[in-house]
Amino acid sequence: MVFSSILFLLYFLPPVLGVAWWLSREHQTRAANAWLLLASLVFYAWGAPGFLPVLLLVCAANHQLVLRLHLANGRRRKRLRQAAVGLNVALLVGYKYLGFIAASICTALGMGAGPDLGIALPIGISFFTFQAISYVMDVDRKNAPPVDSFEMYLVYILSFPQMIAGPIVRFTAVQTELRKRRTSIEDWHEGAYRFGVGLAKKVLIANPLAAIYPLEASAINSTMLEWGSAEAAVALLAYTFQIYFDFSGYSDMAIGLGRMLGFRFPENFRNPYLSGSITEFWRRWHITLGDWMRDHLYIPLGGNRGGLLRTHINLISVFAISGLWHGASWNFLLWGLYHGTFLLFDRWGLKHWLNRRHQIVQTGITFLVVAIGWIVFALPEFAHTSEFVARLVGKHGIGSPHLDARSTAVLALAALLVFLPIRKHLEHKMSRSSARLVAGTLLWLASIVELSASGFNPFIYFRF
Amino acid sequence: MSSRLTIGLIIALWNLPWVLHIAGISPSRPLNGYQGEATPGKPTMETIQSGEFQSKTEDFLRVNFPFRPDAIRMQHQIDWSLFGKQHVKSTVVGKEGFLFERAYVNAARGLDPLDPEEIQRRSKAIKQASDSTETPIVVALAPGKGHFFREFLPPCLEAKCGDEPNRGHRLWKSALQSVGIPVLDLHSAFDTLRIGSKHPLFPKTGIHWSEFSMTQVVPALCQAVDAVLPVPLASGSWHVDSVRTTKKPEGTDDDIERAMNLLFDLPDFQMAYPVAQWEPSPARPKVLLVGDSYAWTPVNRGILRDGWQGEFWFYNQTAHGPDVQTKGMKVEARLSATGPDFLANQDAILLLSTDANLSRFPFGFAGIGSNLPMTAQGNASSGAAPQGTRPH
Repeated sequence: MVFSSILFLLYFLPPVLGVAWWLSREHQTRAANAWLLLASLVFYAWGAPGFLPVLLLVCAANHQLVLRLHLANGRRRKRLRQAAVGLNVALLVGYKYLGFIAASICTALGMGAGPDLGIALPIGISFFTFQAISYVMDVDRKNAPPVDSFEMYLVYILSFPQMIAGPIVRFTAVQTELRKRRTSIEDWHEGAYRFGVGLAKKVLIANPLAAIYPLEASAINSTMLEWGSAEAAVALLAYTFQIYFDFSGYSDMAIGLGRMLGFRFPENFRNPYLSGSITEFWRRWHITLGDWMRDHLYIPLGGNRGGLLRTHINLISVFAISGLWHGASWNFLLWGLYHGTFLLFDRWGLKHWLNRRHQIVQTGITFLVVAIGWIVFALPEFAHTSEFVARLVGKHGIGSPHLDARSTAVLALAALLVFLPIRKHLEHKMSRSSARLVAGTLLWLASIVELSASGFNPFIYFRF
Repeated sequence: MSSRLTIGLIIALWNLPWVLHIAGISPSRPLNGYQGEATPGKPTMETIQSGEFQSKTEDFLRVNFPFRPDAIRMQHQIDWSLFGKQHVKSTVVGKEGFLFERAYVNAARGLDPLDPEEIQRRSKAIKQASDSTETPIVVALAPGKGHFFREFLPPCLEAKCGDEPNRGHRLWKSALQSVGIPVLDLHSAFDTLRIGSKHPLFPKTGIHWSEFSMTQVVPALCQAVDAVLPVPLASGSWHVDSVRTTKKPEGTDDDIERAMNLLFDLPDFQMAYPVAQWEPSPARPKVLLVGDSYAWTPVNRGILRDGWQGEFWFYNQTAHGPDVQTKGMKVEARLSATGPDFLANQDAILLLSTDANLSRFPFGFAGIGSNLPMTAQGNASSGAAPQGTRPH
């Protein structure tokens, strides 16, 4: 069940929010948690019924391990921490990377593609395992006491607004709200607005962008073979915007839903394409992942405390793992390494050079670097990547893109929203939170209208 | 009203669609145009585990939630008003808001799939069918909207231009005449009529010839049939008493526009609807009419019942007429019921096609060709899927 589906928007969410509104009115956190948990279990079971028992079992094991860890000291505490972290890492590796590892080994040994292990990837596994590890570390470091009950732990891990696609929520960020929360009028207004913005980003911008010269493997053998450099450039631009609006739209929806349910989830995107360097980009793009990697990988590896070489190795390692986190495929690893390399370039003087340039030059170069990186991200096969790059640089001519008026309008709107502070300006004008409620509702309605019509492409008559 | 109450009201309204759905209340006017239906999933352990139940249920809810028709109309209106974009399969927007079905644009531009040798072969087969049943066969070549409004066709960028406009019409007319089959060339006649006609012969936003064009078509069809009949058989006479005009198209005169499912009507011609009577003939002929959807217009004017003792085989697939007991009876079943001499017992057979369907003409009648478009190799029964639009 995705957020941008009719099922979610008109059949699941309204009754969930209706009861949540009633419970928030009565200030009943325990009942609110129970309702949220029930809704989350239904939400998850709808998408992955077979994995739910495994998930609940792992959650139970995690919960128990952390309870014991909290009461332990010394070596026992360390072993419990390692067991808890190891359990989540094993889950992630087993379900997400085992097939990739097996295939890579077989390929390396010249045994062909390797066996199909038939392991289905459970939805949201990358997010909830990281969240679970975050909980272990927060308790271990005594940043927060463990949850009061298993039910509360399940609410933290499985809460449907953010378990599927983030943001990765630290336990310390929501521990108070899990125990006691109130949803104010402003929370409802802001939450509805934020949800509407996110839904509109996904449905009204990202989805139409995805239809403009799609940058995907399935296009390689068909439409891409007719592209010149102009079409390839438009495809890359559309994809660069699409991935931002898609991902940040989901985060907005999650944050908006969380707000309506009484939680303040952390921000995940902050105008990343306005960054003046790759270093800055990673402070604005998927912020919660960056924070998680910094706190639970980079710093434990030594951070920048082990000398220059060690720092560089740590940075490259973290970005390699960040890349792989996005998917079990070599292209994601390459993409991670690509960004890690540019981070090193920043440290070697690129950032300093950029800082002495005009803001537009800084933003332009950074945008170009990020956009080129998306080529590797989008196309898993190296042959496809090289085919696309060949077209982009004009080896098959310049071409002439044919965009209809609607596609041109969406592309232009995306560019304006990314590079100009339009949203900030509009939000400033909507200083009253009730105005935001109206705006959010209108955006929600516009998105429903768009979703309703997608795929409706009738014949005039039905006659054989 | 307090803010909390406002929020509660909004949430209550937000819950309205699923409540109405469960209550079986559908507040919206249904959509036009055939789309296909989604069925809800059946919940079993197997279908839930495999995800089939979930995906089917999602599809079903997506297609059937209340207010969907209104939402679609709104979205279509926005797309049309702001971007000139419409969502009907195989529909092409021409200049000044003229709407065409793609097959008609292709036919007008000579881009439809035709094989001259196959056309010649089929023409000979039609002549043989006429000779073997001793029943005269007349072919009526109906006009196509693409040719009729050729100056309003979209620029060639969108619909490629061929080298031989109306190729299908010329090939068929020439082939039929060469084997001695009488041809009623309404395609060319409309070219002359369009200049002086008081009322539109084709609508702006519909596929077919207009109801008003029947003032020319019905008498022409009757005369064409009478010309091959022995005395004293004669078709009934159709007399137009008056003509009613209206800005709001009726019947099929705006069928493309209706399939667009917009909120607001598109500007259209002032259309005309003849008020007419049949004067019966004492010896009406038995006529079998085999044709495409253009034949429905004269059929709906009573030509089968009052002009002839007639029957209509729609695309040679389903039988219709006063003597056909079962609605939409398959032609094979009809022939089984009437016996093998059915064709020989007709006084005349009239085959009718517009230019857009000439690639499939005569639609498998008497085993000639099939209902699939002919291909460049001339294999009429290639089994290839029909090109362009659905037949109508």
